[in-house]
Amino acid sequence: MILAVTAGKGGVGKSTVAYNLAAELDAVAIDADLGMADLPERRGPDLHDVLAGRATPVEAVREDGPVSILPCGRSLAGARAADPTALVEAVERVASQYGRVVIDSPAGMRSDAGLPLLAADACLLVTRPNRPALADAIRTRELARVIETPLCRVALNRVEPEKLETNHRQLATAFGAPVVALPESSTVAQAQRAGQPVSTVAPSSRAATQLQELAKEVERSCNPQAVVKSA
Amino acid sequence: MATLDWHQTRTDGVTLVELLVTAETETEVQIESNLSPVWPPRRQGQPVAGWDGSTFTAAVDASERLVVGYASPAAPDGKPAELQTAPPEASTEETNADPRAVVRALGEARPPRDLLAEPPQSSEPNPKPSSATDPTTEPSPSADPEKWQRQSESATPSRRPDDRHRVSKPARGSVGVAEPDGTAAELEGYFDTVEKRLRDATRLASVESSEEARTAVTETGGIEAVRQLQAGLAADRERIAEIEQRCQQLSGQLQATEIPVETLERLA
Repeated sequence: MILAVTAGKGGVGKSTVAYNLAAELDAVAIDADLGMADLPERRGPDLHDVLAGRATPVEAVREDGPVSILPCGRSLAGARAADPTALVEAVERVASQYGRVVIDSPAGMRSDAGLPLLAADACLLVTRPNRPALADAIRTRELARVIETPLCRVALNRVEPEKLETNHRQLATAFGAPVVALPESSTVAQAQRAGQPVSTVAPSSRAATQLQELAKEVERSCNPQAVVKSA
Repeated sequence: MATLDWHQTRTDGVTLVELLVTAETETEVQIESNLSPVWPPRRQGQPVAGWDGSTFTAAVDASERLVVGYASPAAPDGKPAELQTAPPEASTEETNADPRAVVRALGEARPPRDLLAEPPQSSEPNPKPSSATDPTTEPSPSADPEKWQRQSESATPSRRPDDRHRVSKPARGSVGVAEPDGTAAELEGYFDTVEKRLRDATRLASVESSEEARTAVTETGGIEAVRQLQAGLAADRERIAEIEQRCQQLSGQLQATEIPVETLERLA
């Protein structure tokens, strides 16, 4: 299973959701934001090295942290030297070795956002529940449609606790996929800063429960029998 | 039945090849370049649709001739390319599943080269494949050699638009017009810089204890300086590869060029 976690706008919590989903799904998190990586750094070869042909995708996966991760380099020179078109094959090779992969994609509409979608079996769209973020999320939804990557869920991130139970039917219709609300939570932010998944730091928190539920839903909808690529 | 006509122009160490394919009926054709390596025209940094290595595949029709242009650092050949009529199943029909098509359609997202911490501009940059092939992207079959020459010149590195960002760099004036000794000295200076960076990198790479690591990082000037060093080395790799390619071209040209001094002496 290859899941791309994508967003229209930066700063909506995409990397946090991707990292925690990877923890819940026991997947390898691939930091595919070649220019502005967010997932924790690790020593050793990174995705820049893989895409420049200096390392194999599997040897760049670090298994020593709480979540297996294929980290991304931070340097502009590394991003410049990386061949973005090699991402699809690299992701597939990690998936064939580890089974499950969650890609933390860059935001936006350029090819760096399109290629993770191309590599993925399905995508999860993260957005904040405000107008500018939703408008950009709709654009990213269209990008996924053009690339023919099914959208399995929309994660409405950092929703105020009192609005968690709001019915999001209208949004679900607009996106053409079920909408899941994730609560605003300082625990999530602290865990992310510490490079830990929420389920490790605060396993009984509401955020951890919601993320577990989201992971289960994603897993169900990524079942090959359940997901049919849209034409 | 498809026929191939060609035209080759050699300029600044680059051969520009213009091919014209005509056919009486709709035919799938495959063109294999005899010149190697091939620098195909690029869109968003990726070879345009139809190119795969040194092979270009496309359809040609009686009403629509096919014009193909590309560049190569190799010297002009008698016949720059071979034409084959490809069977239909061999056609490389492009789909959305091609990562290169995604990059062409959505745009390249890599940081521009100018953003990188560049070493001093000490040598004439190698003509970039993309800029060298720009004139061949939409070549006109009837274009006269004079025009090609002009277009090619506009694509030479000394007039690259990027250069206006480099006005403060000392080597700008040296591109193409510098005294040989000046360029050699600048090159020497650049090589010294690279050697120093390599020495620093080797020292950093050989640490075995945290104490050594701290000392090495401090001596380099802090972790930010180490990051800059890493960026510098990455830029050096690209730069040195360019210089190497340029040297090979010049070496080939030097081998092939001889001034007939005696003849000139007699005639003058």
